[in-house]
Order: sequence, then C-alpha cells, then structure tokens
Amino acid sequence: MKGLGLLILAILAAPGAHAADPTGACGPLRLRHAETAAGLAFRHDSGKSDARHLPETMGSGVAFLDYDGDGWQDLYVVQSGAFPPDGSSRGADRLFRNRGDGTFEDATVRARISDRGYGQGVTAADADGDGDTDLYLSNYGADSLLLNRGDGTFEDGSARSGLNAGGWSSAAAFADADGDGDLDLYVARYVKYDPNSGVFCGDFATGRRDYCDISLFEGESDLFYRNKGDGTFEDATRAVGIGTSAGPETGRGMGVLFVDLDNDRRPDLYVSNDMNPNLLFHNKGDGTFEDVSLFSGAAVNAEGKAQAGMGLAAADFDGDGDPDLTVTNFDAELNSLYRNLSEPGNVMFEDASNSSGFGPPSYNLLGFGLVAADLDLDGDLDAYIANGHVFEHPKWDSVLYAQPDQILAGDGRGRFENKSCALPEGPPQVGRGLAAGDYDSDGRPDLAIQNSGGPLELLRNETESGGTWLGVVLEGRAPNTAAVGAKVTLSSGAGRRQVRWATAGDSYQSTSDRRLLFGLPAGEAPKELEVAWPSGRTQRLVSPPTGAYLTLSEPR
Amino acid sequence: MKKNLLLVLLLLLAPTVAAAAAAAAAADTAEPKPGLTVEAIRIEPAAPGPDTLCKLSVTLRSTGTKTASALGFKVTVDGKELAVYRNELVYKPVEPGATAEIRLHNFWSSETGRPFPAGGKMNVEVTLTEARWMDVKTENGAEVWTPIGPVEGLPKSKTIAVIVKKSTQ
Repeated sequence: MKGLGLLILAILAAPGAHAADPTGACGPLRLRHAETAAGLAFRHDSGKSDARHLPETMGSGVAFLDYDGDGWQDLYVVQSGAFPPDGSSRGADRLFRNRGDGTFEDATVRARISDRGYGQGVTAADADGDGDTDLYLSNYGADSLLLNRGDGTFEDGSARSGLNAGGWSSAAAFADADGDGDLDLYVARYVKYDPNSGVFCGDFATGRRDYCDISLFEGESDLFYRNKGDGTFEDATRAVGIGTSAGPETGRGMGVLFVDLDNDRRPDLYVSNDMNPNLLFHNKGDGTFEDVSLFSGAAVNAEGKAQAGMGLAAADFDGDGDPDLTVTNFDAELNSLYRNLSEPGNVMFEDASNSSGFGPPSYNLLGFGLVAADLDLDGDLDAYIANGHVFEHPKWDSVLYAQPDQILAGDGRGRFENKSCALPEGPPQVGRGLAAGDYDSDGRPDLAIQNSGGPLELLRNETESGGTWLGVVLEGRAPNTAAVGAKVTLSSGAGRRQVRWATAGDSYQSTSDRRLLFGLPAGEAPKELEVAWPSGRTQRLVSPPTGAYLTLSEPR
Repeated sequence: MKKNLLLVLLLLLAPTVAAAAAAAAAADTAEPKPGLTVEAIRIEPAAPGPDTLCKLSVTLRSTGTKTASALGFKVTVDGKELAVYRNELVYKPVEPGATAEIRLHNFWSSETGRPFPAGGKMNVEVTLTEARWMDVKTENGAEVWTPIGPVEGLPKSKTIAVIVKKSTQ
C-alpha cells in the first residue's frame, strides 16, 4: 500500500510534468527569462574537479538589495571558484547595479567588492545601523562583512567587526534578537570538511567519483553573534542558549531565518539542518533563547523522521495571521509545510506537508531555494522552489541532477496546487540560491535564481492579473533602519487579511527584496494597512492607495 | 457742464474703486491658502564629480492646519526624469505650519542616457506632484492616519543648479 502511494507520488512529481504555458491554460501567471535582456552575464563556477569535493555542489546564493539607495533593486551574486579556494579572481563575487531601465551593469569594481572566498551565501542588511545595506558573505573558509560606505562603495569590515566565522558557513540571517535595537547575526554552518581527507565516494567498480553523502561528515556548530552597538559583534552562541555542539546529531545547518512565530513581538529562530532535526529556538525576551525544536513539531516530519532540510521560508500561507514554516528537502522526501498553531509563549506546529498539497509534488525533486510571494497577484501567497540534485548520478532513474523548478499556487487557506506549467521555457538547471525582488518596480515579484555551475537566471513577472498591488517600504529607527522584525498586515474590504514580516536572510543562502508586496484581486480595495514596528509602536493607514510603493517611517 | 459730468462719473465709479481697494487690502492680510511648497533642495556632495552618488533631500513647508503626507514626487536631473518616483508615495508627516526635510532617493551624477553635464552645472528639479491632508490620532495605542482630502495647488516645483566638478579628484 505504501508502495502504491510512492508510485502515485512519483507520477505526480515527474520532472517532465512541467512545460511552458503559452496558451494560458495554467492561469494568469507569466514568468519570462529576462537575464539576457537585462545584461546579467554570470555563470556560477562551482570549481568542480575530478576529486568531487562536497562544497562544489552546494552553492551558491543571490541577493536583491538597493546598495546605492537609488530606489532600484540591485543584485549581488555569490561566486565560488576554485576548490580548495585559492583566493584568485575565480572566486570573485559580482554586484550588478540596476540602471532603472530594465538592465543591469556590472558595478563590482566600482563598488570595490573585494570578497574572493569560496562563496556560499549572502545576507543583505544594515549591520552597522548607518542607514545603508551591508553584506554578510558566508564562505567555505573565513566569512566576510562588507560595509556599505554610503557613497556607492564597500569596505571590508570583517577584521574589526569581530565576526570570525570560519569552517563552512552556509547561510546567515540578521534580526534584533535581544531587543536592544541593533541587528544580531546567526550563521548556519554545514559540516567539517577536509579537502585532504582522501575519502572516495562514487562507483567503486568504475572508479568514477561523485559527491559524498554528508552522513560521512561531522556537523559544524552554528554561531550566534550579538551586536555590541559599536560596529562590532561578539560570539554569544552559548550565552544566549543556542549553542549546539558539533556532532552527528546536531549541526549541518543549511538555512536560517528569524521571525516571530508566536506573536509575542520577538523574533524566534528557525534553522534547517541536513539529515538532522531542524532547530527551533523560542525567544524568551531576556536576550536568551529556549530550544523547543522537538516539542514544536517543526523539527522532524509527521513520521518523526529528520529530513535533509535545505532552504526555508516563513509565511502566512493559510491566512490566519501567523507565519507557517516551509522547508525544502531531499528527493524521496516531501518538502515540508509546518502549519503554525502557536500561541504567545507556546510555539507549536503540525506537519501539513501532505494534506496541504505542498509536499507531494517534490517527491522526485531535491529542493534548495524557496521563496513565498504572491506571484499571480491574487491575494494569496504562492511558493517558488529552485531544484537541483547534489549528486551528478542520483540513486533513482526518475531523479536527475539538473531539475525543473516548481511553482505552487496557494489558495490562501493553506492548500496548494502545482502550477509548474507556468514555468518559462528553458533547460532545467541545478538550482541553489533563490531570491524574490521587484527589479522593475512594477509591483510584480520577479525571481533571481543561482544555479550550481550554471547561469544566473532572472525571471521577470509579466502576470496580468486584472487586479492591483500595494508595496511597503519600511524605514525603521536607527540602528535597525530597515525595521527588520516588523509585521505588516493589509486588510481588504473582502475580509481578506494578508500579513508579511520584514526579514533579512532566508530561502537558501539568499536575501530577497526587503520591500513587502501585496497582491489584490480585481475589485478588492484595501481597507487598512497596519505596521507593528520593532519598537513596539503600531501605525495604521486607513484606505491606503494601491498601485504604489508606500514608504513608511517608524513613529517616534 | 464738463465739470458736472466729471463729478457724476466719479460718483458712479467710486463704489467700484472702493471695492477693488478693499479686496486688495483683504488679500494682503488674509491667511495663505492651505498648501505645501517646495522650499529647498539639498544635494550632497554639494559639488559632485563624474560617477558620484548624490544624496537628495527636499524641504517642504506647510501652510495647512492638518498634517500633510502621502507625498508624490517627480525628480528630473538635467531634464531627464528619474523613473523610480512614478509609483511611490512617501508617508512622512509634514506638520501644520512647519517645514519637514524629506530624504529622497540617491542618484548618480551620470547615468546611461544622461551624461555628466559638460557645462559645469547640473540642474535638479523636484516637483511635489501630490499630497493628502491626514487626520492623525491615537486609538488604542496605535497611531491612525486617515486621509481627509487632497492638498490643493499642486504640483509645486523647485529647481537648483548644482556646480559640478570635472573630475572626482
């Protein structure tokens, strides 16, 4: 009986089940490849060698950010390069400046982007609280903090910042975890990997190497850095109660996000782990966290099994006002949707991956990047997933290395329909980092996708929904100038309530546009926009206008 | 006869002249019509060179009795419109009878399709295209902004000529 279920899942999730939808039978959603027209010439260099080092198949990320403050979303693209890393230009990241006319220019040199580490992730946030967006770069090897000087250039602030993460960092996220007004940092680290270990993985008969199963490697412990408010950070991992010892039962962190899960106006912490239970830390409000991972129901699947957690996203998929948690997993696993059942002080989830329709389409796919956005502007959050295997020769014939991405259309009540038919034409890629951002500022969320060893993709959203939209730009009080942690609720006359949270870092190794977008179906007028600011103040706009980005400032 | 005619004419015109004089006097003493004006534009650095990121702020003055906000702008640099403002509204308060400095987007001194000015000057025009009067009050601890109506008399513009440096040195 279980075998029949798996067979049905395999058919439902067949990689060939997607195709472009020129006839519109798939609905109004339209995504079009725009990387060439936009002048984005970037190809990820994984450094793939005959030795098949594991880091070669794990990166990397991408970020939407407005680094020069001109109002247009620029793109930071992480490069990996030679492995073991040699500090050469092969590992040089790229910064593409948005010209505001639908095209980008390479601003890497002009902006003095200096990182040449073996790149994995990028997290964009105002780390030093001076009003512009800085960059935290997760690397195999030493991480980097690039501080924005506010004049269109960056400087390397790694040494003086006290951020000294080494080893193999995968992803990072910022939030004001201790409520002192500045942004703290969590760094998810993967495994202890020694390129000189000489471990052979692959086909012993032919001698063909492939990437090793990560069960062979000990997990690397994650790190929490407290912002001291003077431009420096200190390692407070154990002091705040989230220290995890490295070992097979912990670590192997892949994704991380901060969001208030129990509506107590404090950011909680969720970490996806590969082949280990995911971590969930409840913010106690006194500068420390409580590990509620296993009791929360969001650490393992409904069968009590830890999965291969990769990317993650938090969003209110069922319209009840709190953030549900989604995680991408390995093939022969379902991507996870944990429905939020929390009350203040009691963080609780149930695994709704199967019943929601979120998980089954992923059975033959290996998910990495994951974003929640209202792609079709119908007022309900959808999910886009970047897929691609870690092994060049996966175990099952039905599973491929390069894989099509997925679009899951939400119905606003926590159920999903596979709308991958709306994917644009193009060969499948080995998807990794993924970020959502409205690069042409037309109110429709576009997507940037990093592919391991492949081209950077930019999908322009050309959906004609017949409805309208509303965007929100939050200007918080310094030092949290982007109001990370704010909760924004849009209520419409139709009784719909849409909620977004301002975050810095999620998906897989990536950061999305910090502006918050709401879609509104035809005939649905917004009634009120409420902002719960990180300071505790609440602001409401009655009858906000549509078809525009509204810049709101945190009241004093 | 002529003298009598002139007297009659003066008597006939007197009410009209008096009314005009009274209207002029009233105009001199009346409160200005509630509205918003663009009082100043500030650019940093004050003398940008080529490929320089410029910070732009505008000072608005209110002659109204209510808070003004939902501010829409149009900005041109040497006659080229910066498209980023086309679908944006700034919800910063301009308090009654006060001035408020509003930070707008940065812009580059030269851009695709807008070369660095050869004449030594860069003209920056900021137009306040729309705004709304707001009723701002506190309800149950929340600050509630309710639009009352449009600010009339817009658009209002101001232009400054920025001296530019020929090189970044």
